[in-house]
Amino acid sequence: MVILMSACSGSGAVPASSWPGVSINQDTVYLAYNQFVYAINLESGTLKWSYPADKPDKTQSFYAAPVLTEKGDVIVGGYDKKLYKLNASNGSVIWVFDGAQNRYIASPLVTTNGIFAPNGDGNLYALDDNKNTLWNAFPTGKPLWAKPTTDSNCNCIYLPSMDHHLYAVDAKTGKELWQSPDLGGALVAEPTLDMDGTIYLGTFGKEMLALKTSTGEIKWRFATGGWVWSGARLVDGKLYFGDLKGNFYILDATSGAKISEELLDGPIASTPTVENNTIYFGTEAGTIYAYNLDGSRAWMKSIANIQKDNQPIGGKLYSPVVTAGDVILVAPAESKTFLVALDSNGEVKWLYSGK
Amino acid sequence: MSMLWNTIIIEPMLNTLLFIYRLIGGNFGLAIILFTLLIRLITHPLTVQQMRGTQKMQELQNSDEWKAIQKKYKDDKEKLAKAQMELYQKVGFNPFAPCLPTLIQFPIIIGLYQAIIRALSSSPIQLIELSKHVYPFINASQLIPLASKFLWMDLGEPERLVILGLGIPVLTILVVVTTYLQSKLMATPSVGPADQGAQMNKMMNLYMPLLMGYIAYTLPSGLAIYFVAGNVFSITQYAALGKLNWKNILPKRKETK
Repeated sequence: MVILMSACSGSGAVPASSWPGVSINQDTVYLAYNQFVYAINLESGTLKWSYPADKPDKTQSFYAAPVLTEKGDVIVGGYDKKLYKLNASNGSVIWVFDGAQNRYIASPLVTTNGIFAPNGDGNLYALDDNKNTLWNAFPTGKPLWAKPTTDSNCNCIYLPSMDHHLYAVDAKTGKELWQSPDLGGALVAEPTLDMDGTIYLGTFGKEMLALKTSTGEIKWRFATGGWVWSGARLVDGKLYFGDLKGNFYILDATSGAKISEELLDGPIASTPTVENNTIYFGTEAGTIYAYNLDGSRAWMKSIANIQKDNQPIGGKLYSPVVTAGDVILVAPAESKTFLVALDSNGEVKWLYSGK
Repeated sequence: MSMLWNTIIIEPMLNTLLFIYRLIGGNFGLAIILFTLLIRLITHPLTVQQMRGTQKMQELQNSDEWKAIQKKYKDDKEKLAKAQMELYQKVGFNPFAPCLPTLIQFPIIIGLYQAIIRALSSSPIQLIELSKHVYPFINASQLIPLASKFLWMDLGEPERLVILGLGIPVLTILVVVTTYLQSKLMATPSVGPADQGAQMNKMMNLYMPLLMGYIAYTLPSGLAIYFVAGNVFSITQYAALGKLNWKNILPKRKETK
C-alpha cells in the first residue's frame, strides 16, 4: 500500500491535473500546459519561446489559457497560486502577483478597466497593468474556476462561482451589484452574454439557464442529461453547448426550447467555437466535431487516432477548440502531443509535442 | 479490470463517503474519520481472524517440537521447510491463514485511499472523473465542491499549521507518532534472536513511520487524517481485544544476574 501511495507523491515529471489552455494573438499561439507556457508559431508549429525557458520548477504548472493585455503582454495564472505577466516577445517575467491563496484554474478577464483574476480561494482579484490592487478582493463562498465575462455597457463583471451563484460586480469599485439566487449547482464555465440583456450559463445542477443581466433573475431553465461544464456559444439566436453525459444541444436562446439534441461519443467539456459558420468542439473520446449552424454535422475526426511515429497520439479533448482563419487548433489532454493544427477540412497541418 | 475495480470497490466507497458527508452536514474531515471507523468495523471480523492466526503461529513457534526441528535442520533450509510443513499439517494449521485477512483488507485500504482522493477533486480532470462515479441518489450537484476546510486545514492541500510565521506539519508529526505506536504496540514478541520475522518488524517499525510521514507531508491532508484515524482505531481495536503489547514501548529493565 505504502509503495503504491508513495508512487503518487511523485518524483520527476509532474502528471497533468487539467487540460491545456490555448489562445492566439496574430501569428502566435500561447499554450499553457503542465510545467510550461509555450509561444508557438501559428504557421509552422515551431517554438518561439517557453516560460520557464529551461528547467521547469516542480512547484509550477499552468493550465488556464493565457490572456493578452492591450499592450500585448501575456497574463497567465499558475497552480503555484501566482499570476504572471510575461513579455510576449521573449517570455521573460514582467511581474508576479502572489496575493492569492489557491490555484488559478480559470483565465483572468482583461479589460480596459484592469485585470480580473478569479482564484481557487474563492476571491476575484482586481489589478491594474502594474499589478497594483484596484480594490479589495471580491469574495464568494467557494472556489472560482470560471473566467468571468464583462459588459462594457455597464462596466460590470459577471462572475460565476462554485458556490452556485452568479455575481455582478462593478468593475470600477468592486462592489456587488447583485447576486443570482442559488442556481442549483456549481458554475465552472464562462457565461455567455447576449446584448439583449440576457446571460446564459450551465450548472452542475444539470441545467442551462438564462438570467437577466440587470437583476440576475432567471428567465428560463433547460434541463440537461448531465452536468454542464461547457460554456454556451450564441449564434443567430441559437445556443450551442454540450454536457458531461455527451449530449450536444441546440436551444432557442429566447425561449430555451430545444431545437436538437444528439448523444456523442464522450463527455463534452469543451466550449464550442464558431468560425466561418461552423461550430467546433471536442469530446473526451478525443474526437473533434464540426457542425453547420443548422445542426447538421459537417465532419468529425478522431484526434486521438492521428498517427505520430506510427502510434496514435491518444488524448482527450476538454479544451475549447481555438480557430484563426483557416487554422483549427486542438489541444489534447493526457497525450504526448500538446497541440494539433488542422485545416478547415480537418486535415492535419502540424503537431506540437513540447520541448 | 479498471472498470471492475471502480464498480466493485471505488464507487461504493466514494458514494458512502459522500453520503456520510451529506448526513453530517458537510464536514469532510469528520466524514473521513467516520468513514474510516465504519470500514474498521466492517473489517473487524477479519482483524480478529488475523490476530488469532498470528497467535496460533506464535504458540507453534514457541513449542518444543518447532524448536527441535529448527535445531535439527539449521543447515538445510529445504529439509527445514519440509519439516515445518509437516508440523503445520500435524497440528492442523494453515500458515497462510494469518495472511488471508490482510490480503482481503488490502484492496479495501487502497480503495479507501482512492475514494478520498477522488472525493476531494481539487482539479478539473479529477472533478470530471468524480462526475462519472457518483450514484444518482447522492445528488452530488448539491454537494460539489466539498467543503475542504477542516480545523486549520485545507484537506485538498498538504497540511501546515502556521505558528509565528513557521509552517509546522502537525498532522505529519501525528502520522509518524501514531504509526510508530501502532507498529510497536501491535508487534508480537520475538521467538528468539534468530527470529527473522522479528528482525523484519524492527526494520518496519523504523522505516514505516518515516515513509508514512513523508506521504502525509507531501499529499493532501485529507489522507493524513485518514492515516491518523486508521492508526488510532487500530490501536483501539487491539486494546479492546487485549492484544496490545505495552512492553514494546516501555523502557526495558536491566536483568539482574
